[in-house]
Amino acid sequence: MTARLTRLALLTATLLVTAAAPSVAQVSTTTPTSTPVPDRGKKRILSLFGEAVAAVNDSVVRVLSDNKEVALGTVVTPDGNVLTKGSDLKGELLCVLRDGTKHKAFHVGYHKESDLALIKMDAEGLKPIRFLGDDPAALGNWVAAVGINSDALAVGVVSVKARKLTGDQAFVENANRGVLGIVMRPETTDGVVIDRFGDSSTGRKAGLRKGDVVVEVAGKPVTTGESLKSILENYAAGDVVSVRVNRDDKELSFKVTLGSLSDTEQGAMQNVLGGPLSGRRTGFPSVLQHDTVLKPTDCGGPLIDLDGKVLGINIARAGRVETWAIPGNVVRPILNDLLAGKYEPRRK
Amino acid sequence: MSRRLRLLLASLTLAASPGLARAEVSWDAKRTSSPDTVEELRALESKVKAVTEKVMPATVGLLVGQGAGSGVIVSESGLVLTAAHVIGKPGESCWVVLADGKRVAGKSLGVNAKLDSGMVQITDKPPEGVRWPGVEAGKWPVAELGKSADLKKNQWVISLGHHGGPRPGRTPPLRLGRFDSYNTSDKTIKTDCTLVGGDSGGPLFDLNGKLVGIHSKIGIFLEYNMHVPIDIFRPDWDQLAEGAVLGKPPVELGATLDSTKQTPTVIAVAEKSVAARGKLAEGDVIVRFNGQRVLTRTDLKAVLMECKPGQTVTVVVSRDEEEVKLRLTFPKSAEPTDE
Repeated sequence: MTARLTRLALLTATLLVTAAAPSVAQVSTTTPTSTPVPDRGKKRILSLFGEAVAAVNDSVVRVLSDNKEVALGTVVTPDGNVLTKGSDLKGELLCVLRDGTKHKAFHVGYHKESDLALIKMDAEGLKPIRFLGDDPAALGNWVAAVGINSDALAVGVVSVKARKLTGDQAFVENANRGVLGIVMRPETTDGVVIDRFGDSSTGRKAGLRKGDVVVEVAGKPVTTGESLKSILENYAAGDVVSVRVNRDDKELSFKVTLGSLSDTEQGAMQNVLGGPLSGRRTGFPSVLQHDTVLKPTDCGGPLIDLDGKVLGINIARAGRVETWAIPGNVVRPILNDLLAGKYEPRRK
Repeated sequence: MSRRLRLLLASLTLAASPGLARAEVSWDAKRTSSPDTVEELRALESKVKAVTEKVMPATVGLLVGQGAGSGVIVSESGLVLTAAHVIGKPGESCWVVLADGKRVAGKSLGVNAKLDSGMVQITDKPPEGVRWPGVEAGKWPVAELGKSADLKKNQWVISLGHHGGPRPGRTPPLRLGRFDSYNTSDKTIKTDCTLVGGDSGGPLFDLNGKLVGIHSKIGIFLEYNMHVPIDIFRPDWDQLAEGAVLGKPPVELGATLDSTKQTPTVIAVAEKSVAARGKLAEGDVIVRFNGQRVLTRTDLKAVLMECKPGQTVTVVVSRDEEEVKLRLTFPKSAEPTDE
């Protein structure tokens, strides 16, 4: 699936840049630089988007999950329905409006493919955003990500017109999940057979060996590769989990500190240079790609053009060079279905 | 002139210039400041869109062996500029991926491994169903060469490239940024157009649509994106087109690395080589070389470029789960190189 990516014609990392680079000793792959450095060339342009932003930012909320900023939300009804990025919502939800007022919110529904969640706060007289039936975003257009501030959060240009995702980008997964650093044998019986290890595998460091059959992780039974992956989706790199394996008819137990996908594969490693990426960053029905630098926690808000038209909802910081929005004309029918109660809230 | 005629003339004039209400602003490609007004922002946008449309047909993806990168067509006969590390060496078969996803065959020409410049020749004819000027005569769409030396700090530039490798349904993504500086020590230019794996070899353009750089490497920070300046291609041009290998590293390890692995993993050590004398062994994964952390074979190649004959370096390898420190000494007299 990611075979091609591991052989990307490579851009060497900063370690080998001489005088120009700041004095950083080593690329840390487990804790990337905390926030993306705002693109200084475009910062001065933020204020020029003032009028366009003002048309829209009363309809944006900050979403807190257990009192931590996890996303932005886009108001879609006057009585407080809000669209946001669903996969990072855990625990108690709070929405903070532009005027500073806070409202508790609860889950209404979740559309897995788009990762859009509908949440509801108790409010009235809010200004909702309406999504267009067409897609006016053209290649090269200026775009801005809107938050609850007076200035845009970030600006950029449309890098690729709205498109369908293909290949390994079409799968739904939490790409920030913890991994064992193993490559599985394709045939699975009752457990996952370790064929070999990825580079810097934490599983191997912990004592796992080729041929081991992984039967239990974090107390949960492992049957197929999918079952292993779905267990690990709920853990992050750095988490310690117990792993039970069958080795030559013996059952052994190991404590493994989970690694991340970006530890083991160069393309993934480069992608985190410059800042963290969204966990759920693939599998969307259609994406509008732009080069705006956005924090993963600033997804869920609207993307606008210079005329103040809402082009879509930012859904993922997808890579070092790309942020994705779900185009407005794709959001519209999904929103209607969510408002109609067609989808259950996301199950943890 | 009769009154009626004058009125008619006046109304015609107004109809012909819809921008009369606000002055038509045009973006000067050489301008180094940010837009000051919304009108200027729109003018910059128009320029970016026009240039992108113009240069898109000449922007290509490259598939060479197991690797993926980018390139740009610079002659009607199908000469493509790219990065040396995308192609590796002359005579390699590759696929050249056009902006609409169609693939044509090509072969790698020369490289300058030190500067990271390289060339590919398209060997197929233009396929059916493509449209650009000259296609009926078998000509390829061309990017015009600019002058990287003319770039001024903060001048606006655009970058195209197939980051992540060419993908169906995705034109090479556009990034807009500004030129920062020329680094004299490694002869690269730096911009804040963000790049990532797969972009290597792709084109950097000024807002006149002229090619000014070829993507080469990145740093930790989003603002650190380095390109081979187009001016650097010129002195080597004929040699590269003839398939020369220029800029070989000044020292040789004498170790063969596993080409199926990203990490520098030793699979063979030549007898009596620098590696053998330093006790480098089969299976070793090189982790640090001469004080620098090396993650990939390309990283190692780049570090070797900086070494000198007669130098002794400390090397750290991962061997059977342990880290082992070695000392390697390069002999004083080097092989003659084509520098």
